[in-house]
Amino acid sequence: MSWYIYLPIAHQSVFLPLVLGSGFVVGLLSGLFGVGGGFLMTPLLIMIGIPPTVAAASDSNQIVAASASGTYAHYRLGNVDFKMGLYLLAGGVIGGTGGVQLIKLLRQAGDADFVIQITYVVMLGVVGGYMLVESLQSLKASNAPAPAAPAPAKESAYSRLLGSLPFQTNFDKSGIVLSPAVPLFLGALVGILAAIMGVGGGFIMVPVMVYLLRMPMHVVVGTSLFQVLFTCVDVTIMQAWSNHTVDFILALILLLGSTIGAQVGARLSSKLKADQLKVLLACVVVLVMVKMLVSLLLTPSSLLSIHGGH
Amino acid sequence: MKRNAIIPLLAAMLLAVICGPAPAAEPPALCVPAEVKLDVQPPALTIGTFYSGQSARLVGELEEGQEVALELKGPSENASFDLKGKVGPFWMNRGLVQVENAPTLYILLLPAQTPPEAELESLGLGMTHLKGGVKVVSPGQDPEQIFAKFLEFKKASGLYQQRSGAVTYAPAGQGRRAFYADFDFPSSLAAGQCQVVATVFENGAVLGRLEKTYVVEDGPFLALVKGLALDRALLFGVLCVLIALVTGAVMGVVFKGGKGGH
Repeated sequence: MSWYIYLPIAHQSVFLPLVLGSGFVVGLLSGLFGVGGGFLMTPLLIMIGIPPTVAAASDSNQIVAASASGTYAHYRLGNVDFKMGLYLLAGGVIGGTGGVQLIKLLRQAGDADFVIQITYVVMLGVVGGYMLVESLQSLKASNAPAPAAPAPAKESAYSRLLGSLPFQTNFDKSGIVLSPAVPLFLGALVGILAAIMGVGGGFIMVPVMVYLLRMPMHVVVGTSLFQVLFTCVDVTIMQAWSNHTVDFILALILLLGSTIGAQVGARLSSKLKADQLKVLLACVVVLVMVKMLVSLLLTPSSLLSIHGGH
Repeated sequence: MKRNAIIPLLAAMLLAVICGPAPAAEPPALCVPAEVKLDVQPPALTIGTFYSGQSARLVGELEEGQEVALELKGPSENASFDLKGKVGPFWMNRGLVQVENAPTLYILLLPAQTPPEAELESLGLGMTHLKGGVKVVSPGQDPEQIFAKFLEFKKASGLYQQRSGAVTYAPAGQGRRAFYADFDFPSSLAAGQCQVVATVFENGAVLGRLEKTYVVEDGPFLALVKGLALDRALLFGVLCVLIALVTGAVMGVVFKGGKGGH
């Protein structure tokens, strides 16, 4: 038996263990942090020679499996806030639809790709940098001896704003009380960004849930996966239907690796402290930012690339 | 209903095998020089599930003193590319270019005494000669430069090859000599009808060309998947999602260990 397998839509033969291993690593990140992993997997697939359009579409297909597997694992651990997830999802659909139209306008206006890629790098840098500093400080504080009598925390303007919004609802699983308008609005915002940047948005959604919705980290991971699952079901069907770019064989190999990785990730996630998880995720986000920055600065091996994809 | 739809596809995947060779296509003859013969081994190529490139050999016979160059051309296609350029310190997509009517595959096998590039072009051979049949649409860009970049791109993927010394001649006997040339089909090959062309030349002048059709086809399983993806795209998308969900759920159950549900 050959270690290579031929992909009928990509028209490309690939080394089976390499694709299986890539799926496992991305699945592990997915289960660990609640991100889809598209921001990592799609460039990886392009690097091994898969056309960008096929890489992006097939990746969405494998994320369906990884996020289904991860959502189920987190559900069993009691880490999915379905109510919050549905509000975020509804917002994401509205924002995503608007974002697609926005990107069309940007492209008509001129060199949108430049704006998008720079925005991407800046956002990853800001989000990753902030998470890294904040979670490292938090880790340090938790290791230090506890003060005799902690000073009462002063309520921030943001907290007062959240409290003043109408229709305050109890999100039991997350242990917070919020107006549904907040997850709807933030979901829409992430949807717009995800549509503009051409990714699922999990790595933006997770910091939004942690810092703006103030959900506990373990619930964030499961809830984010639940939302990613629906986004990628939609993307897979649309890509297969409109563009014929889903390579099922590629997706099948990736998902075999990623579903196992997602399960391992979910178990690891329950064994790590929230701050440790945040530090690790921040490192991944910063690494992706550095990788993107380097790819923008180094002369590419070929000045032509197949049109399409992210 | 859903299960009925998934099971045949899963079964087909599990039973996927590399299929046997298909019958060779009828060779049409064009300007055939007297007594020139050409054959391809294997006579046809089937891309199976585990295809990762394939060695092949072109064999033939011609008169003593004559030279031969062998070409393998894939079907023509139109392709769109993003062209990268520098904006300040950053490399960005700076425009869309189209390369029309270029062969998907081009392999040129030459004898040891390879004519220089200019002579190759006058013989109607080589990548520079291909340019004549290709249309480059590149607003604001020099088509010559874009075509050169296109060749680099294709060579890097192994789809365009030019090899000197690839044609080996046997010792001549009775005024004739046999020749052969080994080559590898690249791993990034797509199914389609290729042309094998033997150009016979002597003292820098073409004596004639012999052309044959060579069929590259998908094996049954790959053909099934491709057929579904292209002809029943919506069903295919839904099946992909269902299979992914089932796999995710099965893995969830398989991994259901010490940690209980709540």
